[in-house]
Amino acid sequence: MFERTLQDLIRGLRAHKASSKAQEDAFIAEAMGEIREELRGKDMALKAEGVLKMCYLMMLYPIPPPPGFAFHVVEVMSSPRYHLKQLGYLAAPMAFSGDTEEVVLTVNGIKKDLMSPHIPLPPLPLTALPHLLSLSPSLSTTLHPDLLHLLTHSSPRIRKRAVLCLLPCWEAFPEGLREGFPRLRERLQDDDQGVVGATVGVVMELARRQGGKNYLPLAPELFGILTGSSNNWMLIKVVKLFAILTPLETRLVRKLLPPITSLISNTSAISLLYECVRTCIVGGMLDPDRAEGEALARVCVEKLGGYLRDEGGDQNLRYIALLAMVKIIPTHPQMVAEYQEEVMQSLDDPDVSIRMRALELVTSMVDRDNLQNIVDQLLTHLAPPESNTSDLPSAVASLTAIANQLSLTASKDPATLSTSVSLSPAYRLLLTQRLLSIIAHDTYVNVMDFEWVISVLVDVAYVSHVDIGTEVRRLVLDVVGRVRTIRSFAVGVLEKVIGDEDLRERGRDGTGEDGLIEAAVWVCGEYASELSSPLSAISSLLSPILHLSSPSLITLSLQAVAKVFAFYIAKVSSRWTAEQHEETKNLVASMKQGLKPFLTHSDIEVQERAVEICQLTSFVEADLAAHHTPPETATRNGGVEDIPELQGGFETEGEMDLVDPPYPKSLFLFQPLFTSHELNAVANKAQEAVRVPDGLDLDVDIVPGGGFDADLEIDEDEGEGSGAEKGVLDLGEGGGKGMEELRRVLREQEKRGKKKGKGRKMLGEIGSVEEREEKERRRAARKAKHKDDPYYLYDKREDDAADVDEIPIVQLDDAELGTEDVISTLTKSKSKTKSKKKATPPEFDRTGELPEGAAAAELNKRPPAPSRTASGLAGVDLINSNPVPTRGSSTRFEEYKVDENDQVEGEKGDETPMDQNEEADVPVSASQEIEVVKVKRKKKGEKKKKEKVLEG
Amino acid sequence: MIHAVLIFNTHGKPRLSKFFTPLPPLVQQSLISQIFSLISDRPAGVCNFLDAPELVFPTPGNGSETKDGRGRREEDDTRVIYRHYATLYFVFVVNGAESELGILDLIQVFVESLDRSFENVCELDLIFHFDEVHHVLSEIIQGGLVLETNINEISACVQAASRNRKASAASSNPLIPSMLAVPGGRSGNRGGSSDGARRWLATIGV
Repeated sequence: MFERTLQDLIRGLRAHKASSKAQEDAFIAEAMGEIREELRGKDMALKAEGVLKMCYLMMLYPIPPPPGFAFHVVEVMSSPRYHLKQLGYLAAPMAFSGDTEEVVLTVNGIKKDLMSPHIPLPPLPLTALPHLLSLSPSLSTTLHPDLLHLLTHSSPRIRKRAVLCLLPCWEAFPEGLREGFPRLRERLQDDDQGVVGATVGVVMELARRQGGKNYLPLAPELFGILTGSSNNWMLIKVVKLFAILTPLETRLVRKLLPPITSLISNTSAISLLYECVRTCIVGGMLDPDRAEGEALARVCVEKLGGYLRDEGGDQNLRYIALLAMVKIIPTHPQMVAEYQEEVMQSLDDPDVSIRMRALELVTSMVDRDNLQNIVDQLLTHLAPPESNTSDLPSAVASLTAIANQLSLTASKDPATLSTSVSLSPAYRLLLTQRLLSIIAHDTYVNVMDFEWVISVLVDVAYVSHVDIGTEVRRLVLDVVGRVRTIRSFAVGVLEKVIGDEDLRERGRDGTGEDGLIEAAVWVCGEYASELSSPLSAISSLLSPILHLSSPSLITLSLQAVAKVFAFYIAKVSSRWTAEQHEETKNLVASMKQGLKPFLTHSDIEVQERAVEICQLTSFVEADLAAHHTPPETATRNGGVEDIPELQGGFETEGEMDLVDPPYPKSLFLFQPLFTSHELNAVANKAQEAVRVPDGLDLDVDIVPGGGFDADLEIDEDEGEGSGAEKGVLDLGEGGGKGMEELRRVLREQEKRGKKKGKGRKMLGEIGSVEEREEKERRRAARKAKHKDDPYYLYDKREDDAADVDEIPIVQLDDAELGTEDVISTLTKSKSKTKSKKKATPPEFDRTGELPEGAAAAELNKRPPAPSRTASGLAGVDLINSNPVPTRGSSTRFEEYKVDENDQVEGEKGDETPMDQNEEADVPVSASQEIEVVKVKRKKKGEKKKKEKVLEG
Repeated sequence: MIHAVLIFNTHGKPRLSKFFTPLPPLVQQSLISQIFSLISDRPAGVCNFLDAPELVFPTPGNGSETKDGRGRREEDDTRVIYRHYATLYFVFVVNGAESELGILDLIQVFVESLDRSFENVCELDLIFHFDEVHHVLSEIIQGGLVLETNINEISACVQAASRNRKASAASSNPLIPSMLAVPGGRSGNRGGSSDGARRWLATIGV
């Protein structure tokens, strides 16, 4: 048989690359056939070559390996020849996956290779092991002792490989961490720098996966590396590791500051310098309470700002500078603000990576003063570079002065845009999302001018061309609902939007426009009184191309038409003349005409509304036809402005004989349908705050027993009494003595179950009372904190009990529900900030109060859960578990160093408190050893106590 | 840790793909082509970090993550760092435990090591000796963690291994000769290491 080597295969593939796809496929199929033959054959060298060729093909093409490939790889792995074995181990990670059973076949071979006295052999299995260990927990369990044994191998090359294998091994076999941790710790002080570096890498990854708590005891060793090593890679790792550890142990900060500061000022490697700066930021070393923290922050920001300013310099540095600045913003916003200009420039960078980072940074930089600037600049990115204002649809061009200003700035700096920024749809979407979230951030806390917000939202919908409609709609409705003074402006702008046929057409492609149209339709309907021309609004709402739109938009439009119509005919009634009569007749006729296509629409919702409105209109039409305008009454009553009370229409029929109004009464048929109460923004938690009316107990079954005869559930609220009687199982009767006995037992069990349930409930109540107290306390603290803050709106009353009623909720007219009319009156003050906001909940509750009971319990439950589920390793708690590991890891952090002779040391300086020692430059170890003894003694005492308890 | 090391040429043909985080083969292929299309769009002179809203690195647990950009950033700090050498892109996919600039240096170390073992490495070397590339990589990274960053030590190990291979292949005796037990590679630089890399490599101090 012709034997093709890997080289031949590659040559063949390259030769067939130019030819057709079919030929290439044929060649691959042929090669696969050969490989299958070679794998099945007896010759180990051929088999290994087949494995290698298969690996190559798998890398290039998504070809599934032939059946039994994993088994052949195992065969090659067990070959005694070094070069074949190596191929086997090379192929193993590619051949084995989660459901490959052959892994178990490898155990003995790997064990043998690991323990081989030949130095070159153990590295082979160690190379492939991380992958295999992650596949099979049993393999990890079996090989764990061998790996630990290799940690003390004479060759550093094997030691460092073994160290790296520990990570996947412990990941699959978390219990191993307990036993192996001291061994890992020893490796931190290995003679070979490579081994130390590998160990640091493992510790870093472990700390990232399960939190740094278990690794705080390693601080002294790591500190030693930080001060002693000159290997930049290792220093970077250690510095990054400390970024995880310092938030857990604040005293570390003081210790770390000197070496890190000296690294920052001395190192020539920018990567190390950057990581130091980043650790200072992330590790919470810039605490403004500390003097040096402030100075260090200044140094860090200046370094980063230097990278950022470095024009034409290293783009990588600009990228990471932006990355790190995001981290520093929460604590030192004012320092970063100094570099606002550079950050804004980065937004225009041709590199999308840098733009994304800058976007993220900008999002967190926004404040009241720069909001408009930033948003305007983001908008210019959305607008197509070549277009200027004239390209934008007329509706936008004719917006307010602000909008015009905005567009002017957009057209002014095409220079910045000329760098053809490749705006992928995904980036546009992200940009738009960020833009909207900047505006809406924290319920518009940074917004000074809501007219501007409306114009921006309209602009976004016009230019974004991404699927952002839902968000735009939500914001428009939210702003209009919350800010009462904006409504007339908004209606003015949105009126033009609904008249824009062009926009409607584009909106049907699922891009951002449809959301705006939907919002516009609703706003124009709801606030019809602000419309400049209700008639033209009706005609554009019922536009001839409406039937092309989505059913939801049609539904909205029909409803809006009805609202506008209601408002219009009610208005004309006050100046009713013969002309008006004719005009109204025409309007009704054209409306009916417009509604016609929807009477048989396929969407049920559309059809229903159309029919409904059409029938009501018919009523008005008939009334109009029957009505004759008495000219003299028209002049007589013309001046009377009073619009009849909302319950006009039918209810005034009784008075008809007394005063006959000059207009057809059906003109007031529509209005009460829509205006009986005003719609307002609903507070976040309003639903939960709705008071349960007196006499309504939600826990009582409306139909006792849920309507079932045999209710197996335990009826807690009814208690043992009547509920118990009802809840008793219907066990039937008769059946002799044995059955009687069985029934008795069953009933007893039932009762016992109930009692248990009761007990559990009591506990729950106690818990919730505590939680409530805690919540009250926190709320009081928060109130006190914000009392003098003008941006927090609290009412003067102190009693919190009343605040349930203060939350504005949609008013329901049914008096039974017993809610008072408490819709807070809008403050009419002209200051354009918060006071504009409508329906601000009196308590600006940012944390989001949760309903008592269920939600609170859920909160309490959550925290421990992820640490358990995150990974098996996370479950291992080295600190709280005493038995096996070293004394060092079993106790608290106080032990920086565990010295063999600490007992002796301790007797000398027991009383010195640690903090005093640390003030000066006293060497670390001394004070730590002292501390150890203290802790130990405590521990001993505790143990004694425990023993006593046990005895007692 | 390092999730993946990829090498592909300027036409998107993979020359090496090594995934330390196990992923299904199809996901691997699509990730490679996605990264390639994003990287090849990038003009010269931009930074070495690939950051794009479209890029979602699949985790082995769940096939795809949330599309929401913000959410993705916070829980998953995967970064794609690449370098462009002649006709090849060297791409490392790493998580937040790695220093961005450090990985850039590491790519350089990898390339220099390849250069030492192939003597003026070029794309063809990688094509025809894909096993050798894997061996070199296995001396630098093991299981997604960095094994060694010292170029001398790396090339010493690579040479020792290749000597072992040759000896093993040449010997008729299937048992491994005991002479192999001698730790190989005392500064055994195969000539040319002083002037080889130098056309397009700058030495860095890692």
